[in-house]
Amino acid sequence: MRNTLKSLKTFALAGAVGALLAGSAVAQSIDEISKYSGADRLEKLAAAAKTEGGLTLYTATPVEDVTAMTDAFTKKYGIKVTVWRGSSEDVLRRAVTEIKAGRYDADVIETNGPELEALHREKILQPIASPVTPDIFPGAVPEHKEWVGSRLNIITAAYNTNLVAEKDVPKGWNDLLDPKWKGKVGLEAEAYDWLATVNASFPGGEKEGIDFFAKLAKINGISLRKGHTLLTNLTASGEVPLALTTYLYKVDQMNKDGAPIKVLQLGPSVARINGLGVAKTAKHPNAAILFQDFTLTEGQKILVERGFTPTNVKIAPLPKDLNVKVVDGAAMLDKLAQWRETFEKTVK
Amino acid sequence: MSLQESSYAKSVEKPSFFGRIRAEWLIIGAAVLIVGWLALVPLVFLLWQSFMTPAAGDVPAVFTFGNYIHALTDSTILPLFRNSVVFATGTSCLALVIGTLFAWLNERTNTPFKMMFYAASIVPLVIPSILFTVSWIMMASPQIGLFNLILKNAFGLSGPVFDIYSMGGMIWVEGLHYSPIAFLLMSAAFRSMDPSLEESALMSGASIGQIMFRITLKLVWPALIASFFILFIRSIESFEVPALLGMPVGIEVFTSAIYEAIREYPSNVGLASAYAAALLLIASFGIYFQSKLSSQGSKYSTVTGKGFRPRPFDLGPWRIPAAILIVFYMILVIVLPFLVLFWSSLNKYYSVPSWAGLSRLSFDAYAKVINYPMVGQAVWNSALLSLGAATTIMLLTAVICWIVIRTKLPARWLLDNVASLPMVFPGLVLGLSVMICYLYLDIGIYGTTWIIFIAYVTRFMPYGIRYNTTSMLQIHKDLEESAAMSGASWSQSFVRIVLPLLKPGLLAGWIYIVVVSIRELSSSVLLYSPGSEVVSIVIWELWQNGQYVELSAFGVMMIIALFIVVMLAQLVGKRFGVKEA
Repeated sequence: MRNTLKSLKTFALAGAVGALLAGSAVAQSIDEISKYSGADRLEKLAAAAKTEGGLTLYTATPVEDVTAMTDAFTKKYGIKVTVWRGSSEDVLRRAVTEIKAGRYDADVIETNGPELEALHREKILQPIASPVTPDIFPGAVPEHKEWVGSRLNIITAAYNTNLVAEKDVPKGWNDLLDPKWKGKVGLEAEAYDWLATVNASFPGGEKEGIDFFAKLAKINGISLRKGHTLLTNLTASGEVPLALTTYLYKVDQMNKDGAPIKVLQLGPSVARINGLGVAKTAKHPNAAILFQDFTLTEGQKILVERGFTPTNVKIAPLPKDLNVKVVDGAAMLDKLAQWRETFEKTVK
Repeated sequence: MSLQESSYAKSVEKPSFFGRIRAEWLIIGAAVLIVGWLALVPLVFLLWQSFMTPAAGDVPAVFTFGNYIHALTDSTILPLFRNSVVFATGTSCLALVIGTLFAWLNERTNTPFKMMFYAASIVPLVIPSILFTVSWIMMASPQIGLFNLILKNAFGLSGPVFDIYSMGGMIWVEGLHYSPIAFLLMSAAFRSMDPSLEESALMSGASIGQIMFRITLKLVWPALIASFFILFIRSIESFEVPALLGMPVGIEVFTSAIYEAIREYPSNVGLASAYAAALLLIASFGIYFQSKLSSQGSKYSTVTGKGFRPRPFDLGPWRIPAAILIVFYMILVIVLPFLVLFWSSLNKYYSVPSWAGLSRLSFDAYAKVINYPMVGQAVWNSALLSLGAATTIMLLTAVICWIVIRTKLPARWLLDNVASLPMVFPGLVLGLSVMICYLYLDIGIYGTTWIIFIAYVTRFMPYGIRYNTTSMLQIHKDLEESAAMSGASWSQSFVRIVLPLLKPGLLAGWIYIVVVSIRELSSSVLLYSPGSEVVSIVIWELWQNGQYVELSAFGVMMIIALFIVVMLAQLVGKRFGVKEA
């Protein structure tokens, strides 16, 4: 069994190498393409991408949002984008499993920061020298440049306006310790990275943060809910009067639809990065790099229209009053177990 | 019975001995090979992974006993496991009592309203369990629950009456949600039960209670055991209800340990597999216990060569209370969740039904869902996949059950066991095993709809086995023997005797698999490719984006569509097989 697998793998690999060699006679290697930074970079990419004909995108972005992006891209360059959608973890698992098995369907991989960092560790992504990178929000581009953050998913507190009177709205963390909040505060059940980031932002350091949340859990209790969107919906319906972790764009959108829910600033706005990288094994390297560039430039306006917070601060500057703390993807991978332990000890 | 009258005059010309053996063994051999292959792929993968460390980047996976050591020595697992057992036992008992009672009323008595009941009873099964649970939060949460509000206002109470966030609440919601599983299986069993024993008891002056406990339930004992087993395993694996109702009050279950292990990076599939191996042991024990039952020969067979007329039982004055009970159950389990779902599908955001909300209603969500990207493709794929998988599974497992029950082949219990094990594989592990298998074994199905088909057949095969086994146990081998005496070949007697008599079980199992395969997510999400999207992906998508309103609209449309499918299946089923007197 093992031997068969191995020989199959070698066979597949040989085939792939053969295809690459045959291809290189006419086309450049992905290394050369990704390093080129001449003035005609975009034109060259677009021309080569056209001959490649299409590209495949693995993404964790909601289907309507990603469709808006790919449609605009196809309209501009005439290149068709095939989309595969899954959760951020599914995107990672599928890309790694396929590429290790010698199946190179994925050209561009778009998912959350920690998963992109995992792809980097699996040596799947191609570093790309793009002239756009300097315009991107500093926390959203890793040193190795194998992926670039394209939008920030900002996590904020929110409350139900029917159940929480204007005068009762908490101004700071300590207001939540008032007994009137007993049984009324909700938190996403896996907000490990959020808690770690918020704890670190306390003036007295991490210890003060942990103590505060432990105290809150003890005095008023914290109701844990699985999934940010569930928590947001439960806040709008009144089941959870105040939620500590909701997605900013979702609250805004529901507020616009008339739901009794409003954003609340308590402590920093923790942001999770969502970004994209190009696979080393991409069959359509030019189209893939072109798509990444598009997402980071013109695509940013589409993201704004759809209520997201893009990372290209030159095109869409961040709101000034927003105190954004970006979750470090690499730290999320290395410290997850530790963060989870702190989370469970503190808020359960 | 019409079957007995049909003669086998055409087959007077007996085929040669070798011809008969060959045709028979070809079908049986093929069935065994297919089932064996399908079941062994995930099993081998799971056992192999459970001895491996996670691989990440440059660090390759190596052999280890660590996963089992971790799983067995981790002290935090025990309370989780205890919660799971309490939850699963409670859920199975509740679902079994409800399902059996209503199956009996529906199949064996002349209670009014039963015609529409069969199709309506699958509604809870169709509602995605996330929505079913959320609709119960709307009805019975201490904060906003509609029941609590009504009771509070009516009786001037100070505190809530129901608290859905408790072990009792979890069992209640899951028990109601799973009651159709018991209902379908028990209906099949009651339908192919000869009522003459009950009638004799009635003549001898036994009360309805005595008949129910001493005769009816004893005769359907294998079906009761099978239902309990399926319910128990399903609720041990269930994730949504514990996550939505248990987590806020700190009740955690065993599945969350499996989930956490997989979620880490590098994904610790090995540890998850070691946990799952523990479930495999429990399940094997259950299957072994059931195969003991099937080896007791014809103890439970009431469908014999003698006249068989499944006839309803006259409840007399009890008809009225029975009808009230049915109406009450339909309101509680079918109508109310459906109305909450329908209400939210007309809203702009999820809210508790109220007068004030009436002005906001609109059908926008329906239009949005119909125009949602990939929805048409997904519905088409899911329809093909679920109908195809259900039909394939029921026919395939009919042959397997025949081997297990009718033959004296030495390792037949092993066949039963192996084919039943996929029931306990975590969906994600099963999906991953199928994915990896067909990535390396490149026969061109990776990336097509076929790979999802294979995953569905593997995943739901165990249900086919259970449904068919319980029905097969009720059929006496007399009938096949007479057919053989009259010169019928194996395939003739299988197609013309066994399958038609098996119909109640075949149909119930078929309906069950159609419904659950439409909802299957954990392996579909890994295996689908652009172009082979399925309905559960759309559901997941809407859920993940928090589009509950659109999700509710989609749920309402799904319920209506499947309701029609089940009605049609019943109509078609009535035209074939045993005519009812």
